[in-house]
Amino acid sequence: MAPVIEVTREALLERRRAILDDLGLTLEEYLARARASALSGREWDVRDDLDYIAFLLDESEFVD
Amino acid sequence: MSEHAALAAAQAFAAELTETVQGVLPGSPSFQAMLVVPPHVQVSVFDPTGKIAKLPLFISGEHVGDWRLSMSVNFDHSGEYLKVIRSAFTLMMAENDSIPLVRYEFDDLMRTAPIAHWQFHAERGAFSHLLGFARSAGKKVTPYSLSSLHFPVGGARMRPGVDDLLEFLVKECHFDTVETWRTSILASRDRYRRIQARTIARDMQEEVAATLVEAGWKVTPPETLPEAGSKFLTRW
Repeated sequence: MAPVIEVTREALLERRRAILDDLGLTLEEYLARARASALSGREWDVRDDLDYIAFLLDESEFVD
Repeated sequence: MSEHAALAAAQAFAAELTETVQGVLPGSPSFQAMLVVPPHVQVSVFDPTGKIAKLPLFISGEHVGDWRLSMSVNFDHSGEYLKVIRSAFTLMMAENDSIPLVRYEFDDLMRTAPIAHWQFHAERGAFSHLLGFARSAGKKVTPYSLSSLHFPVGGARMRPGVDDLLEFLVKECHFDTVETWRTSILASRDRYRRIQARTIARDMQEEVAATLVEAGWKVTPPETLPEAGSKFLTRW
């Protein structure tokens, strides 16, 4: 069986905050940049992380 | 399905991914299952900080590329079958440039772009020029970015599996492999396409039954046919 990593909602929210703080963007700003096809390399690097965090939090808005 | 069974199914899926990828590409780590509470489970390789890790790609032993695989899974409406809700495959240079070269995505919740699509992070002046006509006509396009286009690849049921993505890395990009690559890809493809065939059969029962009758089978319909198939038939 594959290893399991159990996380809390609070830990995921904190992880997302840290990712966005590092970029100097709010989530809304990040999503707007993605919609405009204007992500930089650093912003691309966290795209899948932001998506999986939203998925595990059972949110409905993902990066596109 | 109980939470325990849901987690066990996701763990088995992650273990299968590990076996397939390690059977194809050298230096591949193990996939893990991350969750808050089932049934939402994220299956990827994670680094110690929880970030989805880049997996190394080698040519003649030199680390020249990276790829990343993200699988978000839960269970279908019956609660019986593990279902990939979203997945993403990204290929990039190993150098310090995180802008993808190509990207494949599947998003079952997608409403605008095709559910399964490739995006090419490349430029072609003539294509930008062509899209410029649409922009001038007031259409919502970004001519400067070819990667903003989503190239459709068969919808939810006909989309490529992990086996196809791995074979792309091996045969088209010529990354190093381990000896078992061919049998690992074929085993993965056999599993994936059988699952897809069964899902299509559940969605398209009347068509499947008619085809089986034509082939000589005796088929007895249930009292009520489940309402399914419209998504398969209509979404791109």
